[in-house]
This record gives sequence, structure tokens and C-alpha cells, in this order.
Amino acid sequence: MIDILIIEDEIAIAELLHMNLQLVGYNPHICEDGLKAESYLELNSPDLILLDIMLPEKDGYELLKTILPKEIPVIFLTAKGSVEEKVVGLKSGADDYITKPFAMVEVIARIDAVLKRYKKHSNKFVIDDIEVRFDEHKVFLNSNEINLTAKEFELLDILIKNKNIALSRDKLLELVWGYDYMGETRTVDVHIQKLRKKLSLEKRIVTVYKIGYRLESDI
Amino acid sequence: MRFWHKIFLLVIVVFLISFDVTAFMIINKSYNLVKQNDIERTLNETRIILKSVEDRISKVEKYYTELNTDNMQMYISPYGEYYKNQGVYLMIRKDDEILYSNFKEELPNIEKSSIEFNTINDTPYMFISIPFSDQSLTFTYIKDETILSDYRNEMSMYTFIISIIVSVCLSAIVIIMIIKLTKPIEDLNKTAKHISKGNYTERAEIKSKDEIGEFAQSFNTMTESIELHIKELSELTENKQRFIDDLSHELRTPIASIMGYSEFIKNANCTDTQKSKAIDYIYSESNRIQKLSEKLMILTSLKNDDLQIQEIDLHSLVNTVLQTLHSKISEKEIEAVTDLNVASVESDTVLLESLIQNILENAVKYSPHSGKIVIKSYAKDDLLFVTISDNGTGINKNELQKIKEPFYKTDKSRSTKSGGVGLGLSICEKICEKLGINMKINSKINEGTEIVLEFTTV
Repeated sequence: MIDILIIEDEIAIAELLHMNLQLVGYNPHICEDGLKAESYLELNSPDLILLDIMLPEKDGYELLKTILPKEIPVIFLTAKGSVEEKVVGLKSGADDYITKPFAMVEVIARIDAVLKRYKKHSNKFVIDDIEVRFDEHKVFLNSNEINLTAKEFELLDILIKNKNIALSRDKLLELVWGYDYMGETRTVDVHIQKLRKKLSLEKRIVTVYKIGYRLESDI
Repeated sequence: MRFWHKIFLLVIVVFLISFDVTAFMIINKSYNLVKQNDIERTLNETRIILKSVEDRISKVEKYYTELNTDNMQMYISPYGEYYKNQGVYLMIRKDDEILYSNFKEELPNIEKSSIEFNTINDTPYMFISIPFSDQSLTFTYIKDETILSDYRNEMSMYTFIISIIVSVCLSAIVIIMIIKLTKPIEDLNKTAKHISKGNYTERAEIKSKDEIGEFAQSFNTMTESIELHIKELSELTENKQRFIDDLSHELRTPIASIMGYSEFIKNANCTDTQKSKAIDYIYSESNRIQKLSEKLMILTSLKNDDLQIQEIDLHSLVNTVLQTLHSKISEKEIEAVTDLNVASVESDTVLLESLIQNILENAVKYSPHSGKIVIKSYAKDDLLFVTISDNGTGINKNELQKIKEPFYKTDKSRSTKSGGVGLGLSICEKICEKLGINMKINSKINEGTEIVLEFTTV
């Protein structure tokens, strides 16, 4: 399980992140201010930190200085949206910068990207009889390798990363095929059908009415 | 034309005219004096010569009955030759007939008794004609006046050369002086240009105590006041910008929550407990935005509304406010004590009520369970004071300076829970400004906070 520390004084935001991250399979923990975070970090070593800049007691920049030697990746999470602030944030050593308000998909994608860079992401995902090996780009059903096209694998990857969260067809199209892909959302439906069939995920990949698809797994 | 060009030309022209005119007049006067002198001297000389000539002729007349050119030549030529060497010519006429003359040039018409000046062949001559004592002959003395006229010419030339030399020297002096005198103006000009480029801290150097120095002084005074105004303006815009930044930050957080939770409900495979939690957050965060907009409305309306000053009964006003806050007060079982020694005040009802309500709200918020809030009014030194004190958490010194800033919250998580948006004291501040009230906050950690309202003139 990957541990993520959320340092955020706005309880509503912290809880929101906590709920979402738990849903997609991370193990989040909340600290409401800089001092609490510091004492937490003395005993624990999370895999990634989501750090708000404006914090009581000790602000994000100050806190970052004590985090950097620990070599824990940090993503700034803040309401300060100006370019200068972003530059200052990134220059101070943070790995990424997310401004409020944010979409959860984006936060998850960025967390995943940073974890990948640090090679901290899990390279294996198991659900029912299926095993996905991300590094090898291979999928096994009952230990038998199943051949997936590149797009099918990517789609599965995205669904796993955002498991328990529905993704719209448009979002999937954008994430798997890219912004400039001119195809229709039907393409997504076709690929979903194929994935379901090949991996017998009919019950796991759920069609969410009027929204899109969601890979459901136990938390 | 530059200023120094003008001064330079003016000085040189005035100098040349005055110097030359003066010199010319002096030369003329001196020439006339010399000439007068010369005439008198010559006249005397002429008389002496005439006397001796007359004597000679009178002696000779005894031998000759008639005087003619030949015998005149004989008698007079010794004199004639003698004087000719000194540049003097003699002539004797009988009526218009010339009996003797050693003057070679052509003669002009000369009166019998006269002093005349004539220029013949570029040579000036003086003609002095005196008749013989018996009136029979006219004696004319002709003197070459070249020396006299040369004197004048030489003097004029000399003056001219002097005036040129002096004006060259003068020019140099004038230019140096002008440069020296206009340097401060030039410097001022440079400074003004610097300042106009936005360099408001620059000042002119004051070197002298004359008009230019005074000018530099007032220039500096002007720049100072401009700098001050610019500073005030930029501070004002800075404050406004900060307010807007803070406001957008204050809005972003609840909006982010609302968006996030609704997205969560929509997309996530979540339990009912999670769902209701999310809905609770959506509700409380929208509530927060609503409160914020309410407070913002009050802040903006404060800028526009006209005051309606009237006699206000403090008893009823405080009671109204306590009534409004009744539920919160009774919830915490707070004891509210009023001790109003002065019962009436002249002010604006709506604003004063809003002010006291804001202060009381804070007092309630930070009071412990079954705390005590005291509202007092009293007069001191002809001034009216209203104090509101609680025995709550208090504010530490560092925060005391910041609490009046918009959106500042001492205890963020707590005030967010109780629905505070951090604008209460900003509103109080604005109201006090409008009503002419001095607001002071005295506070001690864990002992409580006292807010003193000092009513100055309304």
C-alpha cells in the first residue's frame, strides 16, 4: 500500500482528498498544520506528500525545507494560482503543483506520474483472477497471458489508476487517445467491450448511467 | 534660443552700444576742445603776423603808391616762406584780387572776416581771414589741420580696437558666469526629468540661498508631496489587490470543496456514509460562500450609504443585538451583563448596531462555556466610551496587529467550523471610520479580550 500524507488545514479539502485517494487504493493520512506534519514525519515516512502552502504554524515552503532531505516526493496543493507562485513552488523543490479548485482525476494522474518517476508505484495489480503487470505491459487471466492491444492496455491502466471513480467517455478518450484524437466516444465503448470480454470483467467494469465507466474493486 | 544665448547677446549688445556711444562722445568733446584751443592759438598767431605784415606794408607804402602782386610778393614772401615750412600759408587779397598767396591749391570762396574749415584734396585746412586795420586788404592765414583730424581718427580707431578686445574678454567672463549661474537650473531640469521617469525618491541639490535655491527648495517640497501621494496611492492599490487576492483565495477553497465533493458523489463508487459526509461538506462550504458574500455586501454598502445620525438609546440597541444573538448565547450558557451609565449616543442606528453585533459575535465565539460578557458605557473627559469585554481565549500580541486585516483568522479550523469568514473586524474597522469612533483592542491570552469604542465627534 502506498502511503500519502495530506498536509492541509482546510478540513473539507483534506477529507475530500482522503476519501478519493482511499478509493483508488492509496493509504492517505491527514495532518492539519505544519507542526503536526513535522511530528508525523519524524515517525513515518510516506511515499508522497500533498502539501498546502498556506498553513498555520509553519507554512508549506518552510515545511518543504525539512521534507526535501528525506527525499519524499512533494506535490504542492494550493489556492495560489498565479504563474509566479507556481514557479516559486516548483523552484523550491516540489515535484508538481496543483491549484484549487482541481479535478480529482488530475490529482490522481499527477500523483501517479510522480510516483512513477520515483519508481514507487506498484507494478502489479490483482483483481479476481486477473493480474496486471504494468512494467511488462502484460495481463494474465488465471495465469494465462492475454493479448491486449496497446490502447486496450492503456485503457485498463487508466481504469485501474482511477478505480472506484467513474470516468466519462470524453475523459477516457482524452487520457488514452490524447487531446487531438478526432474519434468518437463510440471508440471508448468498443474498447471497453473488448476489455470486458477478454478479461471477463463484465461485473467489474461498470457502466455508470449518463457518466461513463468505472472499475469497481474492494477497498 | 537657449537662455544663456539670450543673456550673452543682451550683455554684449548693451556693452558695445554703451561703450561706443560714450567713447564717441568723449572723443568728440575732446576734439572740439582741442580744435577750439587750436583756433584761438592760430587766431592770436594770425593777429601777430598780420600786425607785422601791416607794419611792413605801411613802411613800404611810403615808397609805392600802389600795391600790386609784384611788390607784395617782394614784401611778404620772406614771411610766406618762413611759415610755409611750418605748414602755414599766407594770402593777401584786395577785394577779390589776390595780391599774394603761397597756397598752391585751388582756393574756395572765403569771406573777408571769417574762420573757415575746408578740405581740399583730402587735406583739411583752417582759413582765418582778418581785414587790415584800414580795411583796404584782407589777410588770410591758412593752416594745415591734418594733425587735428588724424587725432580724431586715431582716437576712434583706438576706441574701436579697445571695444573689440574688451568685448572678447567680456564674452568669456559672461559665458563662464552664465554657465555658473544656470548650472543649478540645469541640474534642476535633470532632476525633474529623472522624477518624471518615475524616480520619485530623487531630490534636487540645494547649493545656494538665492531665488534658484528657493526654487529648488519648493521643487523638493513638491516632489516630496508627490512621492507621498504616489506612495499612498500604491499602498491603496496594493491593499485592494491584496483584498482581491485574499478574496479569490477565500472563494477558491470552498468552491474546490463543493466541486470535489459533487464530483465524488457523481463518480465514485462510495458508501452511503461517505455520500452523506460529502453532502454535509457541500452544504457547509456553500454556507461559507453565502456568509462571505453577505459580509462583502456589508463592506461594499458601507462605502456608499449616507449616514443618518440620530439620538440612539443604547439600552434598546444592546438588547436588540443580544436578542439576535440569543440562541448562540444561551447555547453556550454565557452570562451577558450590561452596565450602561450613559444611555444615549448620537450616531447611525444601523451601522452602530452592526458594529456592536459584530463585536459581540466575536466575543461569544471566543468565550468559553458559561463565560461572561460585559457591555459598559461611561463618559470620561467629555467623551463617551463603550466597552465590550469577555473572558475568552484572548489574542496574542503578534496576532493583535493582524486581526484587522481582511480574511485574517486567528484559529482557522475553528473559525471555519463556526462559519467565520475573517471579515468581521474589517467591517468593524470600516464602520468605526465612518462613525468617527476609535476602536482599541486590549487582550490577554486566556484572560479575555476587551474592545473599547471611543466616540469622538460625529
